[in-house]
Amino acid sequence: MKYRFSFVITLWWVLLLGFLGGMIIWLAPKEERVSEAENRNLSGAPVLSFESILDSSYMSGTENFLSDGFFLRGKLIELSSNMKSIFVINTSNNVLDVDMEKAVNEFMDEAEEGDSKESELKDNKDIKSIDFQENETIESEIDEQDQIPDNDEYIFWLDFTDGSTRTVYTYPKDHLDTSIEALNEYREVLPEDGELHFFQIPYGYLANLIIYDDVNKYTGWGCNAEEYMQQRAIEGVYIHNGPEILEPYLLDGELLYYRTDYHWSALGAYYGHEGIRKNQGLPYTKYEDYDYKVYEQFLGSIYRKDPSSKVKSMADRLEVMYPLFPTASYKIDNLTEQNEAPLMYYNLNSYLAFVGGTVGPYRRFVTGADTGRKVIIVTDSFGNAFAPYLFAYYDEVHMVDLRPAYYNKYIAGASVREYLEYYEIDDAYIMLSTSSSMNSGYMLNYLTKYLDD
Amino acid sequence: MVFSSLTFLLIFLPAFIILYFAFKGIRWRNGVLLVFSLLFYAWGEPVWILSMLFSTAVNYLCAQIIVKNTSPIVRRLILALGVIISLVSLVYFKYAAFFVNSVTSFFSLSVELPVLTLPIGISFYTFQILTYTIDVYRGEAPSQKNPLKLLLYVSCFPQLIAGPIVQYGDVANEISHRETTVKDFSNGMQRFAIGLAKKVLIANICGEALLALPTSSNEMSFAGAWISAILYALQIYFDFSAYSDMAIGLGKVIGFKYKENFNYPYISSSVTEFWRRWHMSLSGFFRKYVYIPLGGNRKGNGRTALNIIIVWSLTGLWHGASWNFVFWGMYYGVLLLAEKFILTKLLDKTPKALRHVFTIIAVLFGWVIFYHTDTSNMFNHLLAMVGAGVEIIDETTISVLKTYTIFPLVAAVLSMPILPKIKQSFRKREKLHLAGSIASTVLLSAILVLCLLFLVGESYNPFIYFRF
Repeated sequence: MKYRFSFVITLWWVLLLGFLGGMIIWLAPKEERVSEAENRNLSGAPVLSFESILDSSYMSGTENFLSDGFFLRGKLIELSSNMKSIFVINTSNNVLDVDMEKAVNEFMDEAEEGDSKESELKDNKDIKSIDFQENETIESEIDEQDQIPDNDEYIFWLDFTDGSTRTVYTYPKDHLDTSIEALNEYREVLPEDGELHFFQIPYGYLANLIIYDDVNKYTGWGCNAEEYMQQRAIEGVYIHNGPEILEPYLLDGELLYYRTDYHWSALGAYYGHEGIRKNQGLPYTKYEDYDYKVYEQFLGSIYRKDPSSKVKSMADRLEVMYPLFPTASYKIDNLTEQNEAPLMYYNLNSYLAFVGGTVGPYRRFVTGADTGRKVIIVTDSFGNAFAPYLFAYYDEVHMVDLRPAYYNKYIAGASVREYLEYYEIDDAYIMLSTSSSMNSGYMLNYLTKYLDD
Repeated sequence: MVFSSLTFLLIFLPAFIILYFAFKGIRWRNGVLLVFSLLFYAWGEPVWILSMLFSTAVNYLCAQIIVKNTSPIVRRLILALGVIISLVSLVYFKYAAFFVNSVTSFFSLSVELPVLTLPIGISFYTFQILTYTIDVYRGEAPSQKNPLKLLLYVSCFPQLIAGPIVQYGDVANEISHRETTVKDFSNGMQRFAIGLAKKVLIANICGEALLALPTSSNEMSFAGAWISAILYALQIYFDFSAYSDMAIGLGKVIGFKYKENFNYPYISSSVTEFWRRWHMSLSGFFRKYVYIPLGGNRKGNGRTALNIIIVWSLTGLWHGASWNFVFWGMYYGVLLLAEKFILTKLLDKTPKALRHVFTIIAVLFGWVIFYHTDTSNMFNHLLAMVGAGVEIIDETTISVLKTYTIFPLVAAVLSMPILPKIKQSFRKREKLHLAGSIASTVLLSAILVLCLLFLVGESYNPFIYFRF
């Protein structure tokens, strides 16, 4: 009896698993599609070919297709996440978002209730944790750093009203050395007159602390890592101080970031691009020159994590620009395989609207400009709002996001170096948010790894 | 392909089981098993299947010649040829770069080497095919006349990639004659589900927690160093034993009775006992095919010590082409020698609980050596574990402890033989046994669903032992 029961049940396992697999293959969408909840494109059915089998891309594509096409995927992920949270407070995969959400909620609570309790923020996604120290200590550290240009550590800090500071990120010198070496290496791949620009983009919650945290009353931010890196940059490498460029606009109350999403807005990306152009002494288009599709009730990823009425009440304004010239957009696989991809999702009230979200491994935009130059943007998702502002200055704008979820060297079919050489790229922009910058695997590992891998 | 992938669970496994049991005769079933096994291997490594086929063909021919020849010299030469060809392939793919880099860096030379991809499971299938040729040479196993059956033995997908290392003699008979009973099927599937749960629900989460801790050893605190060692110990145990559970379970479903590979190693009260409980198929292989042929413990203490050091250096090297694996093997060699020749009396007098604590500490130090392929990180981690110049605890470790409190504790409890004891107590009473059997089936069904739930949101999560 006991074996018969167990046999029947275990046989059912096999049959149900097979049924589920068959149904996914049969019913799951075969095309790539956007997942707003996951802020990425979900995989379609892999293309079966001799090459795709040989390079294993068919196999990895099948796994992605089954995973992304799983019935009620969103609900199941939410369910598994909730189940995990019964046993753990959070996991390394969602620490960042949860902490960010916690940070937003905390400063909103503090702002509303006048609670003087100091909030604690942690960003475990980076290799170094955020290091909050006593204000006096930090202040003295900053003073010392101003005087001594070669420290063991450099920092990203927030300024308090009373002149003291709070360290948010600590960048060990060896991280900065590795990062600048990677940037120098990229520059060397570019032609002689090529330029490489690096811009570190602060995360949205840091900006929101400055704007909305009435308790701590932050008055600004700063980062001294860029200066150190510029000193070690070779000719043609320009390290822009993103926090410094954005700060005056932020303090003027311009909406460079969203409250319900951690990305910078189209306006934030515009000021980023404007700052780079100004630093180079180059002309730039005005923000008003662009037409924008506007959504007044944009609810971003923070809202998706915490769909509460409080966060909903903070709904943002989303502006998605129209390029100045007719622009064609392509997804590039295997170096030369070119398939059309959406230029912008103008019907999508989401951050994915910008260049249609991250579509890997490579993107190519043929812009309609006639400048004789081509550029690549090596970036995380923050580059998506930035890229369209370069359309006016380059005949072709290429993009690549080297994060593991988006970049597959087998599908790319070429290393970054080979790609740059094949498309005769002139300039490069490395646009990375603070979570993908000098403390992260992106700069410390992937940049160099995929240059030749 | 990995057992914990959706491709395996939703497509490969159901298709295989349906087709396998759709046929009645063993010939047809072997045919299905062989085709699926080759597909299983090719799914991850389409090109390197040729390496496995070549190795099998060479050893098949060698065994045939050995059987047909009576001249001891010819037999020995052919055996040597088969062993060397198999090992050359292993050494070329796995160790060539390591050896060349070590030599060139020692002499400060600069040599550009082609980057080789390691064929998955090469260490496992090479050892398996060697057991065939050697057993045939020794007359301990019959030669296999049908090359496809030999290929089936080598490529049999349940244990192909990460063991257990199945010696030919153990399955020679089952390749041609085996049956699956209702009990085997249900027990096998349940064992598979247990393995899947160990991998998805425990090992992966321990791995997550480990990743959240400082990666660079010079950022470690004393507590962080110990906690990362404990987490790695739990992760590697649940990861590897999970694969063995799944392999043994799937083997049972199709009628193979693979030997156990783990027996709750973390309850050991000596390092010697630990190695009787950890990766038993590997220890068994080295004992039978290296240690005993070298003379074992029959040629005096000096020779025994040398043999132990040789065997453990090879054991270390088998795990990977890096100096830390060699150090790890030698570390165990030295510990085993110390237990055998110096500490025997002391250990006998020490209370078991204390011996257990010492063993766990020794094993944890061992895992730190094993974990860091970067030797400077390894030494820094070891120094941090003895509190040399580090803080007691760091912020990140506190955060990880707050975040991952329950799962590692559950893992630590499950690494002890509590479930078998509960099962045993149920078995004593017939009614309880029946209820327990039904309850465990239902519980495992729920766990299987939970695993699927977790897998949907996760990407590729290979087993640690795949790289060996």
